[in-house]
Amino acid sequence: MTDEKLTKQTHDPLLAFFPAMMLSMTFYCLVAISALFVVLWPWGKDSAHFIRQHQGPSLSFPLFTAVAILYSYIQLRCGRGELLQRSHYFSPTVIQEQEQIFFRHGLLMLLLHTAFFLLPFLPLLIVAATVSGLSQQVLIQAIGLLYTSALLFRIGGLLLYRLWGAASTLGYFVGRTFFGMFFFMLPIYLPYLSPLRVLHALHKNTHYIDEKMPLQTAYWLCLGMMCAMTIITRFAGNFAHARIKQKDAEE
Amino acid sequence: MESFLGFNERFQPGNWAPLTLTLENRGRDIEGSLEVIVTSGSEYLQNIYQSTYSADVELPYNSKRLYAFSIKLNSFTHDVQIRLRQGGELLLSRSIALRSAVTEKPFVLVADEKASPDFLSDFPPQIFPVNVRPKFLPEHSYAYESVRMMILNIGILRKLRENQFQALLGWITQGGYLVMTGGMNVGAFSGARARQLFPAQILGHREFIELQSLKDFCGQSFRSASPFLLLQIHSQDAKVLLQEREFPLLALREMGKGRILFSAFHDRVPAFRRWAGKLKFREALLALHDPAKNSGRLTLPSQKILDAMFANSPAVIPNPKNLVLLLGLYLLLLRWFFRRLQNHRARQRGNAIACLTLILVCVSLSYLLFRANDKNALSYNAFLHLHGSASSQQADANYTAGLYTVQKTDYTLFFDSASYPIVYLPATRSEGAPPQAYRVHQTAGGQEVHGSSGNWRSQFFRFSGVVEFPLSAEARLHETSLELLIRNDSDRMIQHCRVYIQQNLFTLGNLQAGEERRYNIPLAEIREKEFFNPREFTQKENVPEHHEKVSAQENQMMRYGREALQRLLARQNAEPYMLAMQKKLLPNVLNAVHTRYQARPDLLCLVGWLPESQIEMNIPQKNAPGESLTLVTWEISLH
Repeated sequence: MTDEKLTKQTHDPLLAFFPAMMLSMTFYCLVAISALFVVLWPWGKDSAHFIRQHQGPSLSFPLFTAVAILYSYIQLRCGRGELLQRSHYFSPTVIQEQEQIFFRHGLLMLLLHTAFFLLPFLPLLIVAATVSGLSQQVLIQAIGLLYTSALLFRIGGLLLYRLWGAASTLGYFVGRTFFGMFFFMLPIYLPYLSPLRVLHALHKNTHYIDEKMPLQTAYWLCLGMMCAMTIITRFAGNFAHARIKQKDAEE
Repeated sequence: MESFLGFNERFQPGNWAPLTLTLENRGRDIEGSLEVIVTSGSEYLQNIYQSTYSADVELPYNSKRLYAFSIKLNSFTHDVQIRLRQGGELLLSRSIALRSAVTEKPFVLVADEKASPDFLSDFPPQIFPVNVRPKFLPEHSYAYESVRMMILNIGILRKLRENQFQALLGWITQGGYLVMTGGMNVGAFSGARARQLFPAQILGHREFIELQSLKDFCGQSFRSASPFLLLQIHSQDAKVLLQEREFPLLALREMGKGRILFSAFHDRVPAFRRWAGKLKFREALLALHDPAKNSGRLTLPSQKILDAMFANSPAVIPNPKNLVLLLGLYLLLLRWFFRRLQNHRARQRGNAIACLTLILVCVSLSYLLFRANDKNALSYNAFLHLHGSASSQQADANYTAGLYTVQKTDYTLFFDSASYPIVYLPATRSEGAPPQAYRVHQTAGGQEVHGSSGNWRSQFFRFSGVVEFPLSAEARLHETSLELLIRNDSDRMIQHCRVYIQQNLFTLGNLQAGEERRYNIPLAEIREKEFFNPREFTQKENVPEHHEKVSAQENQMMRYGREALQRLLARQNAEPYMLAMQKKLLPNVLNAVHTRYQARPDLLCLVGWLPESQIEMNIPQKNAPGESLTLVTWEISLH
């Protein structure tokens, strides 16, 4: 398997890890999340106000939802190669090209790369969880959901890139459609598999989703579904790549 | 299992009642827990909750043991459940129906195994007389709450368990009324318990055929066809109320706030059963002491205390201004590092490490804040009101504890070795929030309250009792001044002391631990400087309709009073919780003091504060942060 982003380049070894557009986009998303944090902060209210209402500040769930959506979107775009700057006048010199087994080489870097771009949001998320009175277990579970959904869209974007390339309009719309369905239609039609519904239940500290499915069962179902989709997408990408190579060879 | 609820299977709703359970084990050894579950509240108001009283049970093979509980029964709607558990296994489950056991009348207990069944007849109709076997008497003084009077044969004292005797002592000291009869039993007075209750010297027996002095006492004399013997005693601690030819028939001993009446004339005199004056005699006995009227407590409005504690709960939200500044700094630094990552290709590795370090430092700091707040997930505050008088160093204590949870938490409260009548207080302003279940577990070392509280919840518990507080005071009226001497023998400073004298309030400052202070207040100041007006301190919605019609002179006094109080509060340098609670509660405290003492020019009231509680409450898990406050109101007689 070859991939531009995984090609060794002697002059800029971290270029693929820190593309400029991705850094900018991450930063602007962080600014947006910070603005949301400041707007949603319980200004002028003390703990007694929330204890009287038996409900904590509405800070953590909106923030986690916003991070889930923005972060996953960034990973989708990164997976499709949209955030890698390409110059029409300069092409990187390929010194060495070597087929790598994805699980041995690329996977670790992919996981670290995805995790790195979650890190800047963590201080805000942790402070929001502190103010909202979430427990450590809920915080870890929520962060796990964010990471897994972002990884799903990263791999999904990679599949779309392999199938149709970075500049494909079809790939663009397929990606966005899947994104919209996953985040905005799944909570309505399949709430037990929707990370947003599970996030909501975690923040509300309810024991059931829709009074039917136990929360922990829904959580692991959702997480398992996303991991399964990620693995399936990864193998689909492999299959697509093999078919493309075969087609090129026939031609 | 055998159960015995209340007094002869009767109880008064809204009060504590004893419950005695006898367990007999004919099988394998049992080590478990005995639980008594009382359900309170109303389905209509959706405030049903369960209070569980439990104790550890150890029943070897072929053994029989008695367990005594004191439970608060607020209504008769729900049965009392009794369960015996071993580990997770339920060994025994019973329920006690309450509908047929309820009575609204206060009890007169007759603890005399040889009392005839018709002894219970001819009691006043507003009283419910019951004959109680000694082994079913309560083991906690507060279980006597619904008892108006107890008639006890002195021989019964030896048969009481130690806890029962201490409970009886505690009840009498806190205002109970015991009528002791001796019968012909001379030896019973020599016991230690009898000497503790009613130290007396036995002078022998005397024969009577009639008792004319009873006519003065209850309007009817007593005459018997055959002679009868009465026991003659002499007690230096007791005052003779009624005597027949220098033979004391009734002798009264004050014990704390309660009274013990020795009656030489008793129901075992043969002609007593047929005596027409029985009812009047008993009415006269009852009239000698009424625990409810003589309680002498200064009560503060309960809801005001809860509101003040709620408003000053320790749970806090972090300061947003500092957070916003740190957030701005974080964004600036991150922007700078991202730009270096984009522009400085040659040192990208170093920039990446620096950026990662910045992010990890910020994540660590936020996690530290998270962990710090996690420890504050459970916090508490407490308020203790001690009301005593200068004549005794024992004070009535009213303790309120508030628990505040930000996360779902299990909690355990430990109190000191005393047993307290702990009740759960649903905060009335928390609409839509059902009260949470809790369990009071009795151990050898004291009481533990176990419970679970959800996210953003509050729970309040209250109990009352008697506490020793070494504060003494004297007030003497001289020709031109009032001399006030106050001695604080406690180990704590009493802060912001004020004294209420004849509708005036004077500031006394702080009383150091172990300090004695003398004050001379000119009588002219007491008579002229009438700036205290309680109407100023009522809530706006409680202001009476005629408030606006007061005279211009009274308006000026009210304004002066308000300004004076504000100046007094402004000069205080107390800790935040104490200051905040004082500001909230002081108007209500002064209102209560004024209401109680405005018509009593012979009584003064000292008001002071301590930044701690005399009653220790521990929450061992999570080192929960909490604050306590004690309000001391002390009644001083003016000589």
